[in-house]
Amino acid sequence: MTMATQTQGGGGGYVDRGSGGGGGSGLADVVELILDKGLVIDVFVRVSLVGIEILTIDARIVVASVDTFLRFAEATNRLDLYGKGKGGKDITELTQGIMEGGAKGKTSGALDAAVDKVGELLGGNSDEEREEAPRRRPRQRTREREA
Amino acid sequence: MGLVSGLIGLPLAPMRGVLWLAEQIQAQAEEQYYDPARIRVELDRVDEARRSGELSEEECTARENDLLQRLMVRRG
Amino acid sequence: MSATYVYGLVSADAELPEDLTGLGPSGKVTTVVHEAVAAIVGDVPTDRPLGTRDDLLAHESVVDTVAATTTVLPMRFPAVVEEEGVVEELLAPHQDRFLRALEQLEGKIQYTLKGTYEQDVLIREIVEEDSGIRELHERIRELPEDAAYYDRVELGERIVKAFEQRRDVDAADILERIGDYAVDVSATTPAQPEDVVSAAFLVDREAAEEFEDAVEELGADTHEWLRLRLLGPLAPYDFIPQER
Repeated sequence: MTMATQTQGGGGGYVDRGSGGGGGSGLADVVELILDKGLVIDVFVRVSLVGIEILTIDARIVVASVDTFLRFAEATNRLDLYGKGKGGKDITELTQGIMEGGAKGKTSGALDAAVDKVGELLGGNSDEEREEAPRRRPRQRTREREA
Repeated sequence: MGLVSGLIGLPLAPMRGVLWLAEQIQAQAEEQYYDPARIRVELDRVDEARRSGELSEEECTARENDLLQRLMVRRG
Repeated sequence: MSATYVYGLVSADAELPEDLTGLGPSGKVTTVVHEAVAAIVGDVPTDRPLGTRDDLLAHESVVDTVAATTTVLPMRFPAVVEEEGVVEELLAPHQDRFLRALEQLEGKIQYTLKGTYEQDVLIREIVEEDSGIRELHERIRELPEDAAYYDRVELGERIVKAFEQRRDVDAADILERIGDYAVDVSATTPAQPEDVVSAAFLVDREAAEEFEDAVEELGADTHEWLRLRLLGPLAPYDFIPQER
């Protein structure tokens, strides 16, 4: 479920749509909607009729654990940020990654972004550009790559 | 508060002994296994695996039913 | 006596779509009307407990298919009542409350938006921007895996913290950008470090297209570092007025 319609044109394409009404939402979404939310009436408290009781979440926050930290450390190490070191990415992937990374901070084209990114890797800082990022125009390149 | 109760409880701690520790470990493992928040996260992962094609539809369905079992405590 | 499953409540004059399939053995979905309010009901499997994946999906599907065309108060799963109780215990005693809620939500639908960071993109950015993290990362790379255990925990923890700091800014930004298209917003705290936003939007039906366009535009602008998933139109799960 939650059909990945995002690349098939139609509604435009960058947002994954779950349409609701059966066509769409994944079970995780459905669980969140119908087990946590919705109307509860005293009459239904007599769940013994159905024989089930549902564990609900009081606080949705999963306390960040060592497992989580290790997962992110692993993700970081896997990235092979400097293009050397053990295992992993070939040069195309690496370049693509660099472009994506750079794209967030820059409004220029892909090549410029890559060049900028290399500059940043060598010690630059793109901190104050973050705020601008969401208003950047999308580029055709990525759409083609996804399609 | 925590300090006071901690100090009062302290002399008793060794008496609870190994059994107490084993119970704690067991309880913690169960708590994690049935932790709704964790189950949700796993449901999300199954969903992702389905979308990416990493797992087949049948596998995903079976896993989802397993996870739901953990979310619902059968009574009587 | 038999058990009845209740999916949700609508006003008595609401027309249900034809193609609803319930979770019971018959699959049938009908309504029980009491004065101005009606319950969307169906039968219940008797040979097994409720709670399978298909049960949940059927519940959601019925409720949200109805929601697509008419205002519905969705029940929390599982909502089972004895057949005679639908009117006597559910509709009659609570009619006023239900009608108030239906009136309040009339002409509105819910969308739920979830945003998750593109993990790799963000990690790159974080490592580039934080020299402390960069040094830690380099140190770990020099060491065999088990020797660097505590360093790796620390690296992960710092990355997670950095995710959370960015999330605060980005989530506010997202809500600000599309919040104007909604009449009400209900945001929940994301569960995982890479989750940016999880929010429900109550939207006027007439403004639905506009809202969807705004989300799509947001997606176009942010897709390189943010994955967005939009659910809806849905029943107003997050906006049921609380009474008690």
